Amino acid sequence: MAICNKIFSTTPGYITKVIGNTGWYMTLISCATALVFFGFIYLLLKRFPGRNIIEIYDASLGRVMGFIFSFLLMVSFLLSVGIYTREFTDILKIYALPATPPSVIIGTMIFAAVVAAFLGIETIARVAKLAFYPALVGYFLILIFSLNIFKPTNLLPIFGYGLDKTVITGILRGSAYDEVVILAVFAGSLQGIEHIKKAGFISLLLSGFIISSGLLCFALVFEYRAIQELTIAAYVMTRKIAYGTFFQRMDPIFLLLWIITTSIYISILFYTTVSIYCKIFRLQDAKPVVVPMAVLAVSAAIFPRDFSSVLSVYVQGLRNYGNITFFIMPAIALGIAVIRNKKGESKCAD
Amino acid sequence: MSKDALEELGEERPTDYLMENILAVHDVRKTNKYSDAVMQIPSGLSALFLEECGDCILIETRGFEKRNVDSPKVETVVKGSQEGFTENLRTNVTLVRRIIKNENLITEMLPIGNTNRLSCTVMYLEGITNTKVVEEVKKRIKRINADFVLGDGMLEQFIEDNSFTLFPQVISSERPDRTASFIMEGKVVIIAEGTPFALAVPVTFFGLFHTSEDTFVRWPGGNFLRLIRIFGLFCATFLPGLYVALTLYHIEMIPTELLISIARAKELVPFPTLLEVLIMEVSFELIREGGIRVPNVIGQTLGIVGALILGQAAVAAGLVSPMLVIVASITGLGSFAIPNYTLAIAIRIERFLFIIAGAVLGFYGISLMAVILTFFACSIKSFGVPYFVPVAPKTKVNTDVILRFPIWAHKERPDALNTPNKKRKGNNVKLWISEDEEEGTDKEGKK
Repeated sequence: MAICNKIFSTTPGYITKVIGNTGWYMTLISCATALVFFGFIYLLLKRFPGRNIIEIYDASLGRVMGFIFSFLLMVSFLLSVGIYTREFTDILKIYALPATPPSVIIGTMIFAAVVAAFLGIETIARVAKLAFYPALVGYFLILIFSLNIFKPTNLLPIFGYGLDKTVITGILRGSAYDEVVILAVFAGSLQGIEHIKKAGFISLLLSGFIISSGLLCFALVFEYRAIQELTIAAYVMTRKIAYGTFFQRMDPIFLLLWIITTSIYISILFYTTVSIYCKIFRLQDAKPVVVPMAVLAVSAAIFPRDFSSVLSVYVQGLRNYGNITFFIMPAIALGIAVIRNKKGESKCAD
Repeated sequence: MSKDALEELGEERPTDYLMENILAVHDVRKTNKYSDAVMQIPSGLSALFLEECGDCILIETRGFEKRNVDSPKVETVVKGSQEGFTENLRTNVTLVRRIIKNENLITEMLPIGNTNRLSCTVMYLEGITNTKVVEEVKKRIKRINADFVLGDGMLEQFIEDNSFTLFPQVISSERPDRTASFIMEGKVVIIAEGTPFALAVPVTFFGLFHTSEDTFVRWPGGNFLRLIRIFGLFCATFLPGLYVALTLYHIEMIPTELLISIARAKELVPFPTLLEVLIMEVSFELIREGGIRVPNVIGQTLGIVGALILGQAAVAAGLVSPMLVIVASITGLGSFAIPNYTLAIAIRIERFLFIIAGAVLGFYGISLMAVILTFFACSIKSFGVPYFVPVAPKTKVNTDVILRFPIWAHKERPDALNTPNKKRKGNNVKLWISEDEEEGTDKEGKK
């Protein structure tokens, strides 16, 4: 759910601007890239069984470098919370709540994340699981209902702005699947390395399929020049659905789906940030950290000057450079662990 | 007893002699604890003390006035047993025992309330119920440190895991057949003296939508009824909130024809939508509460007539729109479709939260409120069992949790209860099919 949520964001419009109408298979390349990098994360976790990535950074790189790597990871998650909350807020203001102050939307969204953080990872995982099935059904219903507005010719030219551009962008945007690293943060609490491997690979493949099918539908409904101008393609597509005079416009379903999945997504990211912070400073109780961290998250959300800077600078910055903290740093840690022959002994799950 | 008679008994204790030869009562036992005797006398037992004897005999002489077994008042069904519990504990235990005629059905009596010493029984099936759950239930009941406990309602509040949640963590039933099915599933049943209800633990959210009728009707019908109840829950929770959100914030989402109807209906109403909805919902709650308090004969009439007249009058006076009367009526019907009373109350409270959330932040407010309440609901556990199993967390698929499969497919007990004996049925439930085939008979029984 954390990975797939991006299909409801401004991402489809942006990638169409960069590579044309080939987003649906570009994302599969990104997914394959993420699979490769998750392979490195898996190898790293396998080398230090029963430990989370924060402990592994310390063991592999030493306390100082380990601290820097872990802190950068935490900052990346905190920025993700802030930036995605802001992106959501601005889009919601455009389409549904034009008169509501952004601070109200940001504040309430972070409040939900704070509640989730107080209740813990177990509760968040259960809510995500519970919401996943109706969200998936709702999502595919929207795609199926759009069948009558599909124009297969929109997929042409099949290579968009060029295959090379699609492949390179696909590799660079592997960070679209970076939330899989959350598994490494909670590795110590999960049921063994094989379970993490299974969860990671299945979630990446499933997300790849869901995002790709969504992008394919957008490409089939909108001409590539039109989609570039849309802030959120999924919303506009649901508004175009019409069967007869009464059964038309599925935007209420979309809104509910989008808000529920986004709030769970933000909660997951926020709890991960809190958890990394506690692990870095070896704090047993996360509760005192939650509210200060929420203040930082709200600050990060309010920081961007306007919506265009959110989209062009912050969201794309996270997409382009997120790879470094989420994927490349674990690969570096793995390389150093191999060179220094660092290995962890088997440790029971927390 | 004379000294000579005592001497004649020799080695035999006089209490044993009296119990075996003199007292013609079916339930007698001896005790050498004074506190035990003192505790039993207020419950209606007689204590017989013998001079120069260290034991006393407790004789069952209870003869409280009691109500006859009658049909259930709350859990009525079209098909199935028409028998409900009474206020008498022994009668209730007997009603359950009559359904489960098994020597492993354990009934343990426990006193609750330091001063009023109410009796309650813990019933479970040895070898089927998880012993950890049984121990936990007994531990919680024994450690209630309150001077006065009156029946299952108070007991439920003393033993539940989380007091600060709207959702019930204990399921209550006034039907012996349903109580017996809880025991057979592997749950622990608690029956308190003085109330015609039995409590069962652990409970899950989806289990709150089950009724006895589900088992008695064929599975397609049972599934249909369950889906109707879930739809009722959805209407009861969200409908007024969604109406407020749609009319205040998202008018463009309403199909044009419907929008015209709503606008026309609202034209003469002087109140803002939120106030209009609150007036209607509060009136509905008043009618419902009033209908319960007035005598039975006119109670139902008051409910229906009150709702009709009030709704009609409110529309005629231009206080509320006819559209809202329809919304409030469907909402009310939805809440009546929820089979669990405690859950229905929780939903009634949540409905007001959703109305306010819808009025303040539209769909966003409703969605966010739903997420926050789901966070709280998902954190609940009932005697160690997560509230939303088998979905979150996922456990082994059971054939009678959310939807109901054909009766022969209910081969295992719910996975989340972690019962020592999971198997409910053999692999071939309908043995008669294979026997018929072996004998070479066709479906009509002809050779």
